[in-house]
Amino acid sequence: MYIIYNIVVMFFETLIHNMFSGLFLGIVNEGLLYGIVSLGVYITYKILDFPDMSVDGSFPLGMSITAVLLLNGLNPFLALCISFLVGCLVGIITGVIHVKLGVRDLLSGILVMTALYSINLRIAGRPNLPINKVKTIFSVDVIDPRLMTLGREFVKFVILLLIVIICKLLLDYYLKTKNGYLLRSVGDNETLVTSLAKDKGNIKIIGLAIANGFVAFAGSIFVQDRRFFDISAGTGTLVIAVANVIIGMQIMKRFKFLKTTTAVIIGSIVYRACISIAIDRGLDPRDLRLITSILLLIILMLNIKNKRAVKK
Amino acid sequence: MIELKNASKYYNPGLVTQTCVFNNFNLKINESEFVSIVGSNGSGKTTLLNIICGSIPLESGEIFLNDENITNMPEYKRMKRIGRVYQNPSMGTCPSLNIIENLSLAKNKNKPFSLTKLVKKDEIDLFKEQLKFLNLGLEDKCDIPMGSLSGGQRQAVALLMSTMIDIDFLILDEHTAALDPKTADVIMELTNKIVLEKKLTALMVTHNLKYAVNYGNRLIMMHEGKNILDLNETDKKNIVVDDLLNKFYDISIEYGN
Repeated sequence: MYIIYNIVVMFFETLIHNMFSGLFLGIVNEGLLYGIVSLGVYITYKILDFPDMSVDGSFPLGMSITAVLLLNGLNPFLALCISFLVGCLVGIITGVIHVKLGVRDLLSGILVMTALYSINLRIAGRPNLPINKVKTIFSVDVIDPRLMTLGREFVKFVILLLIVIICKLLLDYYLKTKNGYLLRSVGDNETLVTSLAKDKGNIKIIGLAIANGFVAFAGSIFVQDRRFFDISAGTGTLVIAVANVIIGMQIMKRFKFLKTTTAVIIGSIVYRACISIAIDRGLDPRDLRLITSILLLIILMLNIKNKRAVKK
Repeated sequence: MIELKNASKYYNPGLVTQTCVFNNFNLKINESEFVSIVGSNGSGKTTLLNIICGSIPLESGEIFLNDENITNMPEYKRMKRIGRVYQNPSMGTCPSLNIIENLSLAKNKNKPFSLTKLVKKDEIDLFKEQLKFLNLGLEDKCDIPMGSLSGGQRQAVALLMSTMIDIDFLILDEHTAALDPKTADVIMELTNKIVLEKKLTALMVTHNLKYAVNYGNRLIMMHEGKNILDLNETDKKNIVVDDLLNKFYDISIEYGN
């Protein structure tokens, strides 16, 4: 066993040093992380047709909760789970505000997002919180110090890939279940859900809960990677994720064998690569969100144009 | 059995534009009656269906379904025992899901929508058999999203879905109005088959007087929120389309519209 293990370690060592440069893996890692956010936003934006702004708050919420929990010595994986559950709670609140109180979808998300800003400040205590010396899900040197010789980015890559695959498979499975199909019907044809004797409002709340759960979960991973909580890290989450989802959908049109969830994750990596290349070519990082918005606008316009062309 | 007692319904209550659709309206539909409802536009036919299903609330009065008062029951709970086919073929099915997935959803109605797989392999053959019964060649199109099927095909599937499980009551809301004459005939014939086979109590709103006369065992003509004509099975056999048409003209002269 031990020999096989050593061979595997050596194999990967050579592989990374030869094939992957740190920059490339860095892009993929960021893409994978935002892939989880995009999976969540895929549920609200694409399936439910609900522009859920509350993700801009649940992403830093996952960060702040995890930062504080880790500083208090909690197991990093447990922090991930707690972030997911708290994210679900945020989704439920947004859903209740929209469904039960009758506030419009966009506004109910904005309300929750704005409230979360203060809550995040309260949780973390201040706008910036470094968590330098705590154990995270990426601290593999605890298991075996030699793993670190594989390179920081590669270890991160393996861990992120595992998590993303698990998330994707779980979501795929859920969307095939009775409950998942009901969720898909709500966005497609609300009347049908009523005809099936189900309360469409409750289904929407479930969808929002899962979506925000995913986003807060991603926030938790993000802060464990960066080891730094920043109150403004959530700004633009929805816009970036929507861009990822749309790019993913376009990729899926070319490669029909891809599942939507896979396409969304790939879309997220492609988007990251584009941004990284742009910055590499001299784009000022300060302009990033401006560029993102303009880029998304262009993508949306192209999409609308395509749809019109099909209708004609 | 369904019963409306002293039902009153106003649109825009309290405003200048307030219009009364029903004022102390009474109607009783017995077990296994297949009622066709005709009437001019604005006579309250669709409002009646919406009141029964709970899509819109009543101002006063009561509704009973099998002797249970359902006046304040939300729409989705009433639909446990009611199946409804809409005028718009896209209302009855999920456009992005395929036929099998749609039928599976309908099959699971009134059962828990849990975290187990929806589409069961052994049910697919059963569904295909039911699709064959429709005679529209749909059994070979099971993998195609509902949205790319024609209106008639969608309506046929919607009909199948609404009667998939045992229901007490079938509501047909001008369900052939958006179809071409030939497809409409096919769907109407199919509806009749299903209603008779499953011994359903059905309520059909239609503008097609031929269907109203030829199908069902009771006929109601509505005008300004009242049923001005109510024919039982024997009376209905003696009526022809022209009689109904004349009645329409009579009303128009009488009420000046």
